[in-house]
Amino acid sequence: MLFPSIEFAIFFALVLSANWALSALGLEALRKWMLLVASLGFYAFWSWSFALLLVAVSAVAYSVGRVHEATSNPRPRKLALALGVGGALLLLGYFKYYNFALATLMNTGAIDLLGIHPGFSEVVVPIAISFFTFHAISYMVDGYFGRMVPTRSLRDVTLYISFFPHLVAGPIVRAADFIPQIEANPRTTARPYSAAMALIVGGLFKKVVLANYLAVAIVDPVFIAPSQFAGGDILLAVVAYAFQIYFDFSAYTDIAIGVAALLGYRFPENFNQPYRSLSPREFWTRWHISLSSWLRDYLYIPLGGSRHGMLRTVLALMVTMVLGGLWHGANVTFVLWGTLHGLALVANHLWAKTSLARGVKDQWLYKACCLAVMTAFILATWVFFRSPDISTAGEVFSGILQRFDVPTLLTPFLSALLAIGVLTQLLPSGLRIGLSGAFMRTPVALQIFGLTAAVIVLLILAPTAAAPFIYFQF
Amino acid sequence: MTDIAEPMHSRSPRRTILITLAVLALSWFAFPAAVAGWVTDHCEDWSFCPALQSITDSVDSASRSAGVAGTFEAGRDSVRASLGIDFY
Repeated sequence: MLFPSIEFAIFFALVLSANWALSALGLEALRKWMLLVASLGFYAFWSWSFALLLVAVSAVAYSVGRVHEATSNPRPRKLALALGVGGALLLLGYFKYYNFALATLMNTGAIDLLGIHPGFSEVVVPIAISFFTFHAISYMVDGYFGRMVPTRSLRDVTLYISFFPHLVAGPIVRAADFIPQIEANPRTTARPYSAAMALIVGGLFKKVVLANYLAVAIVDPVFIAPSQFAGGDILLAVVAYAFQIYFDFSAYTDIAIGVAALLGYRFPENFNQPYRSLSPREFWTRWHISLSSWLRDYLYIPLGGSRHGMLRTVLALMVTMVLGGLWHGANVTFVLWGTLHGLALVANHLWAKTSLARGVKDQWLYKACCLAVMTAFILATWVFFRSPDISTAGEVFSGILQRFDVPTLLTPFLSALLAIGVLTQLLPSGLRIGLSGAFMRTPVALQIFGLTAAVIVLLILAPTAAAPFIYFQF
Repeated sequence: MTDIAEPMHSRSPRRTILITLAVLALSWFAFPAAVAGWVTDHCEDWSFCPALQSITDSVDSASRSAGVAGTFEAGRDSVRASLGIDFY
């Protein structure tokens, strides 16, 4: 069930009404059961059997939490955590990387050297497995470190892990942030409803209009066969992809944040104008913030972080970013994407410690150079992220460098889409808050009229049907 | 993201539901064919399907007789034609 669909509109209208009706009647337990059933039903829209897997993962996380609550003895607590997290990672590894690992062993001939001959059967990857295993790990780790008190309710743990707004493509919500919200029984929307609705309508516009048109007008055709295009058009497609993935993914999380807020729950922000970053470190505080902070707190810091010398820091950064790349998908291109970002973060770390960097960091010329270098770096790494394989990425780079010509695919419409993309990175972030506040003070009839007008414009501009969100595959 | 001066009703669930349902209903009235088509495609064996289809058909004919659906569909088609691309 996609957010921009009639199914979801009906589903959400029913869930929203039931949520607040049950809350008004004081039937909080029933309200949570309703949200849980709705969330599992939302997931079962893709697969009932994998919905059962989701419940099983939740049950494991719940059991680990019960051990953490029941004893202060470190040995059983550590053992339960190791078993729970290990089990979650094994599950993720099996479903997501089995095919990749087997194909790699076969292609390199290593399988003959090892003397094993497993039958090749395609493993179907459960949608959103990367997201729900990370939520389960968050619950177990947060309970272990005392960041929250593990709940005694299996229903609440399952609701946390399977809550439909974040289930399929995030944002990754920490257990320590969300379990208390479930237990607190919200009485009002988590944000002003105008702000939440603006997020939903804006997200739909970003996905259905901007991301879809960029994909179809230029990105998909060029990346299918880069050798058939001139270098200027290939470069244009790379720039268009940078905005497509931003619109696509930030759209999903905007809608998720808005939908959750209308139900009374607060999700963290996931994007903050990432393409205005001046360094790799800054980029990762602006792009997919919930994942980068998750990796920082649950992987980078436990690996030693920056407190055990330079070598350990470099190692922790590289391991974190390579695994972060692999998290996106079982493909060498994602590993390379993560590795390049890891190397950039290492270089950033080393450079920031020099006296030269400290001397020039506030100069506008230095900042302009940083912006140019970061833009080139981000565009180059997106080539690996988008390409189905290394050879396609190679064709993209060689096309840009060897056949560069004036772009022929740059229509006025495409220019407008790219200009909107640039504007989203430059406009003050407080503008949305100001507009939301002004909207809230208008009469209700005008609010309904304004929102309906926005939806109608969306429906007029929208293509016949929307493609799935890019991050659904992760 | 919090408004500096939020009106009292800004987080009211009742008003949220009212506005959400009103926006969905008006959007349905503007483009009734999409919902009617969806019900026809998805509603097959359940006993309440005929009643549901008669509701969506009624909204469709009411919107068309008022000239609403025709206006918006014509606008949508001309936008799609002027952009020159349609897909999926």
